[in-house]
Amino acid sequence: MSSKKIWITFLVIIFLAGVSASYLLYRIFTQQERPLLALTASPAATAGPEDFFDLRMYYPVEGGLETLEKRLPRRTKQFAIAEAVIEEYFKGPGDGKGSPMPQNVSLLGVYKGLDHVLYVDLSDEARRNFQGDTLSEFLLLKGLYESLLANLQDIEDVKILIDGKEMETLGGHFYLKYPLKNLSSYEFHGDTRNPGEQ
Amino acid sequence: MEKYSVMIKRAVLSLLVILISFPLFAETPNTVSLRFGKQEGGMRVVLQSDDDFVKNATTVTSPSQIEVIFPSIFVVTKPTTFPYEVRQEERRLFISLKEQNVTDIKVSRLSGPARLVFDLNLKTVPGQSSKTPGQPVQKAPQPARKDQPVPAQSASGSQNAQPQQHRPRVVVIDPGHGGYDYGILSKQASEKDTDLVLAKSLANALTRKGLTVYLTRKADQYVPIGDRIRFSNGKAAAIFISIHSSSSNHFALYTSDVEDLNIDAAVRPYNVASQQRNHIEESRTLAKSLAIAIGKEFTGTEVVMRELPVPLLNGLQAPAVLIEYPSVAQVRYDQKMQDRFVDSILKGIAANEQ
Repeated sequence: MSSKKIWITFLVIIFLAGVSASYLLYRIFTQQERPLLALTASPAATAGPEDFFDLRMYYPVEGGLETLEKRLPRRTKQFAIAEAVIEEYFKGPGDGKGSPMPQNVSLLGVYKGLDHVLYVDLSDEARRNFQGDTLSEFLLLKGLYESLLANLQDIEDVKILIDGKEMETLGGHFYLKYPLKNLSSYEFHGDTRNPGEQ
Repeated sequence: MEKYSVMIKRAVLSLLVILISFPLFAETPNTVSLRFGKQEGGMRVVLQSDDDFVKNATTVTSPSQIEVIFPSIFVVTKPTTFPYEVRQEERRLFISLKEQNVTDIKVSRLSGPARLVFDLNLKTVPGQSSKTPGQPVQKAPQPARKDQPVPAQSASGSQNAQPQQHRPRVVVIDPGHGGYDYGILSKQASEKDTDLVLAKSLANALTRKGLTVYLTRKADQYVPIGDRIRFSNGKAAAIFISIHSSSSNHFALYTSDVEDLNIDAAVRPYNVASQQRNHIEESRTLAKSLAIAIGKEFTGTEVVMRELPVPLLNGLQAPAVLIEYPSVAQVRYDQKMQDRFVDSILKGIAANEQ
């Protein structure tokens, strides 16, 4: 009887090990690669509700960028501020003006490189759901770049990743392969309307 | 005690059954069978698998590579005689076409059995005039013959020579987006399809005028921006026109602005704007001619001109304009609209030559 009990215990251990191994293998094969989030929303990063700070935001509005100040509960960590800027950018300027971002985009992570480049990792919806033309894409990228640079210290450039990967373009008009500084340094001078009537 | 022993035995048996059946629920990799066959002037590569697996696969093709992104992991089987390098990275399958003289790839998705078919056009005659990927829509019969009568252009003394010299020999037309990049979508149409339809109509019209016309894509495939630039520069295009949709109800014509880029040392390596620098004035003149012609054809529709450092335009060694037509969400591009669009572009190009 005693040997039977040892047998049973042995089988149970084998079984548990088998289940664990199968589960692990199942997880490895079914979960597609996801970049580890460098940062997730952290309530600890926010201070008391009475303590506020201002964000300077740049939103694409009618062929240009509109500057807005937004007051939010204070955040002290740079990554928390970066997240707040991106979240506010996702929300849009308000007052009936929609978000400049495509629908259902989520922020997957914010990273900072040793080269002082801030890497913003967005979900694939940013690319798939983008419904803009050349100017819309330019202003979307420039607005995000300007908003981040205006509120973060020690950041020299911004690079957008999609699903943790470097993509060629967001909407088919401008490169995402390179950081945004060069593109965003360009000042759009506005439209020349109906040149034939001049 | 015996009862206890029977219970234990039953429990162990049940657990064993569960343990054995558990792997059945785990995901088994699909098998993708790669086949190929040589055809006249090209090769057909076929990837065959289950219906849903093929249906949900995404393809990205360029003259140097075929990339297929399958919905889950898979195992690929291929004949040992397959001449191209095949590489697999989790859900992605890469077929390297480097140095294989592939000029064009046509992708089709067939059923019964489900398969992805890639028809590769291979450059067979070495030393032909086309040195880069792509094929002309139609070879023009030798434009600009010396004995061809030419209408007088201006009051200047030289009647025949001038217009012929300015006539563009090669026009590259770039239908925007393609493949997984849909552009702007409406219930009726997608931008990538409308871009292609308008580009093909324009190409046919220009070919009838005696010009040699190339399209950067002739099918629903994604072509990277860099490949579009290399293709056009390789054809020594006299005019480059990229066709896109606006997100509003006006026409917009973009030229590059290479002068105003604030290029400092840190970002200089990323700068690709130097190519367009030598043609920027010609591009602006072309854009204005096109804008005026479009404005005359589509009276009541606003036409705007913009300068932006669009990477596609920045890299081109030719007068280059990106045209955005009113949004596919607001305008239906039936045959009549296509004709009007093409007609206005032809008039714009003709005016630019003068």
